[in-house]
Amino acid sequence: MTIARKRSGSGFALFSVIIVSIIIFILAATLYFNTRSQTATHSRLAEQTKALLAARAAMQLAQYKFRMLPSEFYAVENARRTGLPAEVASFSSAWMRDFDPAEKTSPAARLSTSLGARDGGTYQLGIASFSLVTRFGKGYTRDFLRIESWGSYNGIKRSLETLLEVEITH
Amino acid sequence: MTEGSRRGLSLVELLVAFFLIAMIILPIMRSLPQSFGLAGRQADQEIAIKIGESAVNTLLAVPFERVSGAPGSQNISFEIETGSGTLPAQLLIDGANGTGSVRIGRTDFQIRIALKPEFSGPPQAPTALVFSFMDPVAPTPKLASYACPDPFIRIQVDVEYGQRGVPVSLATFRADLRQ
Repeated sequence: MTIARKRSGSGFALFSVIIVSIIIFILAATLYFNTRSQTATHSRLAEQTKALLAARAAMQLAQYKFRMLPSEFYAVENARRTGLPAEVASFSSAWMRDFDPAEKTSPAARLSTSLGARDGGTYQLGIASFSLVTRFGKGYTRDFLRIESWGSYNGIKRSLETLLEVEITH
Repeated sequence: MTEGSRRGLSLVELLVAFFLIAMIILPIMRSLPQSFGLAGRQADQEIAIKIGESAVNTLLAVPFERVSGAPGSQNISFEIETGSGTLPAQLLIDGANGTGSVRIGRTDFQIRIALKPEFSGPPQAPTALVFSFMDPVAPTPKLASYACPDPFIRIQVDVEYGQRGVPVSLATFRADLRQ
């Protein structure tokens, strides 16, 4: 009877070790894969930040152009309010050309190239929309512009929207 | 089965158990410090990105004169949001270059700043940015054009940390929007 009991107990240590080993292995594998996925997340965080800063650069371009050529922007807005769809499209396109990184010599393309030159990554930046929000009646001296800019770094894109208060200059 | 044979079986069993534990534990013991080291570097990199972004945002927000690269030194204060609260920090700008340092936990973060007027006039210069608008419906297309004489400052912020961490390098542009 005693011998039989001892026999049933044989293999217990091996069995326990296998179970504990499996548990340790699972924990270690979880830690390993968790660390690997965190690496990808951190890499994306850096790329997203670079894309966001490219969008900020695009926002600076947009504000600068409005500051230099406000009459032309209001010509686009007048066409938007009174013109035919085809006319509106051609006015908008004329205004937005400087913000198109696909146009080789546009300011947006030059800034994109400059950002990528030191970094080695591929930057692109531009303006998605540029519109007048308010202008009602007479007596108003200030307008609001809604500008949506975007930036991308190695294909990761971030957008930025700003409501900008400006003085009506004409 | 005799007592002697039962003891021998137990010994073999223990040896196999030790062997299995060694097979499992040793590689894990070797890889754990690597994983913890990597996790630590990732946390440092995340903080470095936040520090760099805070520095860039500060340089975009201060008056333009302070980032125009003009000679002279100045201090610019800024704040870094960390998991345990807000940490004050300072940038020392001297002309077109700047530095700063922040210690978070056991890691020192070194900030290097370069302010470069990368695009500026006169109109025909290769560095001038030209903004234009061609009236699409005028009988003779009327072109409005403005070659930017004002500098577009490239703000470059590099954050270095630790010995094995990959430095964080961030850049953007700032236009001269003064009236």
